[in-house]
Amino acid sequence: MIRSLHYLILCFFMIGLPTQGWSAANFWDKAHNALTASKTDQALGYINQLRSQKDHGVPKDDLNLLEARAYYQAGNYKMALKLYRRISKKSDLWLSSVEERAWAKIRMGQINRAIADTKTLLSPVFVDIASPETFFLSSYVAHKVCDFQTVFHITDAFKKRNKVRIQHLEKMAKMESTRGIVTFLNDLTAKGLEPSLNPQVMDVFPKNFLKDEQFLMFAKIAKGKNVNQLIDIRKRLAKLAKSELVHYKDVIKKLHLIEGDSIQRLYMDPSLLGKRANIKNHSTRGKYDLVFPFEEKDVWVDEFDHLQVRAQSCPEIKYKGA
Amino acid sequence: MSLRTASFIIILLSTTLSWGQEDVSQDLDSLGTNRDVIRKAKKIAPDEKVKVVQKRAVDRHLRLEASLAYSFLAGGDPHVNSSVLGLDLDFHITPRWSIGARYGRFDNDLSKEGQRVVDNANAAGQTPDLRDFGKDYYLGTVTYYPLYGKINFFNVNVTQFDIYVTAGYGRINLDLSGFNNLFTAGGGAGFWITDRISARFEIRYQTYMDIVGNNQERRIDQTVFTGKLGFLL
Repeated sequence: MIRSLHYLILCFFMIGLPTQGWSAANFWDKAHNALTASKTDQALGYINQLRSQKDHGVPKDDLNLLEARAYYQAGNYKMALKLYRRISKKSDLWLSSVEERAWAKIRMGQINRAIADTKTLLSPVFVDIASPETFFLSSYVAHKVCDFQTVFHITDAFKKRNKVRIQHLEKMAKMESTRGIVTFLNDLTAKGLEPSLNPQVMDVFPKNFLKDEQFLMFAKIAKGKNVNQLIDIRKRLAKLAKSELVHYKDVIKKLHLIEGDSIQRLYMDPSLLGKRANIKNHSTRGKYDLVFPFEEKDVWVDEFDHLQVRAQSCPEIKYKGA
Repeated sequence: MSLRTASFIIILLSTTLSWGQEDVSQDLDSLGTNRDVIRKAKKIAPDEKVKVVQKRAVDRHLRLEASLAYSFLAGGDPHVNSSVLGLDLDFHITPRWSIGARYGRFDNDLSKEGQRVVDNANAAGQTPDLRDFGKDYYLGTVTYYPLYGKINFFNVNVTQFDIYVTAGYGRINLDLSGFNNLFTAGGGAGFWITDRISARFEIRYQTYMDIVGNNQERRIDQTVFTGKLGFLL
C-alpha cells in the first residue's frame, strides 16, 4: 500500500517533466545527476521511467545499484536492501553492494548483520581488493559492539594493505618517479596500453584510472612517443592520485576517531567493567537451512554472503534498583 | 594525574596533531601504534559467534527423484553371485524425509562354489539344489536425512551432501518359492552434483526366506552395496 502510494507520488511528479522522446541514456544520466544533487524523488522517477522502457540496454545490476542508492539516500533502507540483494555475485558491482548494504543495515540497527557483511568483505579472498571504506566500515561496526580488539586488528590490516600504495600515490601526486611509473610509461610508449598493465601497476596506480576518459585519451596516442613527451599522462595520474589521497586522508581521520574513542573507553569508561548483556538469538535461518562452522582464515568460495554473526553488545554496569 | 590518564592524553594529542599534517603516510603510521592499548583491548573481546548459514543447493520440498541403481550383493546363498539393476523413486516430502518405491531385477551367476556343486551333481547324475535365487523385488521405503555436509573438490567445486538412513518392506520374487517378504534397513550418502542430479552410495542389510533341500525354509541375510544416479523431476 505504502509502496503503491510512493509510486503514485513519483508518477505525479514525473508528469511535470519533459521526458517524452528521451533515450535510455538520457534517463540514466538524469537519474545519476538527480542523485548527485540529492533529488532522490526525481532520481527514482527517472529510474522508474527507464525501467518502463522495454529495451533500455542498461545492465540489470547497474540499474539495481543506482535505484538502491536512491532509496538509501531517501532513507528507505528496507527497499534499498532489497535492491542491493538483487545484484549478482558475478557482477563487478557486487562488493560495492555488500559494503553499501552493510551501511543500510547499520541505519536499520541491524549491527550483527552488518558485521556479517564485513566478514565477507574482509575475508582472505577479498581483503586485497577491499576499499579503504571497507576497513572503516568494519572498524565502525566492531567499535559499535565494543570489540576493540578487532578495531585494532582492522587498523593493522589497513596499514599493511595500504602503506606501499599510499607511498606510491604520494610520489605520483608530486610527479616524482617511482619504478612502477617509469616501467609503465616505458612500456606504454613501446607496446601501447593493454600490454603495459600488470598486477603491480594495477595495485599502486589510482583506483579506476583505466576508466578515466582523459587518461585513456592520452594513453591511446602515447605509443611511439618519447617518455618525456608524456607529461599530460603524468599530470592526469597526479590529479587522480591526489584525489585518491584526499579520500585516504578522510578514511584515516575516521579510523583515528574510532581508535581515539576506543582508547578513551578502554581507559576511562567504567561501564566496560560491567557485563555484556545476553542477546537473543536473532538468527534468521530457516528450518531446513544448513549451518556450518566459520573459519576466518579459510572461507570457502560458496560461503561468501552466507554468514551470520551473533555478537554481544557493549558491557554495562547494572546498579541495584536501576 | 594517573598514568592511564596521562597516556590517554598523549595518545589523543598525537592523534589530533597528526591530522594537521599533509603527509598521508605519516597519518597512516600514527594509527594503531600503542601496543599496551591493544593488549588491554584483548581483555574485553566480545563473545562473537560467526556461522555460515546456507540454503540447500537443492529444494527438496515435495519433489520426486528418479534414480537408476546398480547393486552388488554380499552374503546369502554362497552358490550364487548376484547383482541388481534397479529403478528407484523417492518422493521428498521435506529435506529431511522422503518415501520411496524401488524395483530391482537380479542378475545371477554361479559362484566358484556353485559351479563346483553343479559339476559334482552333473557327475553324479543328480539335479543341483540351487534353484531358489532372486529374480526381482519391489520395496517401499522411508528415508530420513539427519546429517549434512559439504565437500570441496580440489577448490573447483563445493558440493553439498546428505547422510541418510532408510528402512523398507517389500516382496522378493524367488525362482522356486515365488513371492516372499523382504525387509531392509541401511544408510548412505547423497551428493548433489547439480541442482537436479544426485549421486548416492548406499549400504543396506536385507533379509528374506528362501527354500533349500526338502522344502526347508532358510533365512537369507545379505548386504547390498548400491551406487545410484538420481534425477530430480
